[in-house]
Amino acid sequence: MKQIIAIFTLSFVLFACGGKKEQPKVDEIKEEVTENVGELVQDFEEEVEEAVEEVKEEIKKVAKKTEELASGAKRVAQGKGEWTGSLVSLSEFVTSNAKDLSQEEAVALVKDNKMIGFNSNGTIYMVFNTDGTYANRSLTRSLKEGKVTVKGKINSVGGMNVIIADVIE
Amino acid sequence: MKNTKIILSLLVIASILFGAYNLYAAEVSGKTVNLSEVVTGKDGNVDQAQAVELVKANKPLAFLSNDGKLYIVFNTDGTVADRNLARNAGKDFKIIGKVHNKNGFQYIIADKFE
Repeated sequence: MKQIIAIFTLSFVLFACGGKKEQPKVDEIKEEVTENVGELVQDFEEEVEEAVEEVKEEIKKVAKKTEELASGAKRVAQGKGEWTGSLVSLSEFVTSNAKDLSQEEAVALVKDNKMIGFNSNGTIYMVFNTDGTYANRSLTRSLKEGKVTVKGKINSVGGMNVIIADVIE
Repeated sequence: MKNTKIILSLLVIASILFGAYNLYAAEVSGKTVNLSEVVTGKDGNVDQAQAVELVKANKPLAFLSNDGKLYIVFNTDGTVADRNLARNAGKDFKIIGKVHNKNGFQYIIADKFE
């Protein structure tokens, strides 16, 4: 009888101890998970807030730049004059930072029917002859040591800077 | 736990990239015009057949938006999108892409013509 009671007691003690050991583990895990999820959510919220702020800043910068460019376009709009500058490939200009063209490069582009832009003091113009034809060939022909001079009238057509050239030399 | 952090970071990066794309991505409605005519003060209207002839003769086409802005349109590889402009000439259509004004040069990098 004593042995049976001893076995029961031992089993109870073992069972009870086992139960006590399991309980704290689950609680600890729950606590850890809650804590970590809380931290993650907080981190995520902070990161999203930062990202939103960055995007807002970017929008402000773009809006400011657009305004500056628009005012620049207004400043160059209308008027006769003479401008000296270099030639750039418009296809290169829109996909990267185009370099100034040499005469050989410009001739090759014209042969390929590529569009050429006139860069004067950092502003890109499209140059046309007085009959409205694009002045690719005249610009290329007159390019000397990377520079060409255009005499004519500057205009802003639908926001695009255009020179109607009387003389290209 | 590490995986969750990575996934969350990727989500943040994706939302930043999406935001950046949306800054420039736009849908512009308008029509194809003969650039040479527009710059000399005419309306520059062309139908599809005339636009195709202009492309064959290497005359430049442009896109005049409904709000009066004039754009040169490029494909994403940097080539001039004259053929697409000619294909859609003679009607109002939309260009989905990125609108730029770089150094005073106004252009669209077109992703799609609708």
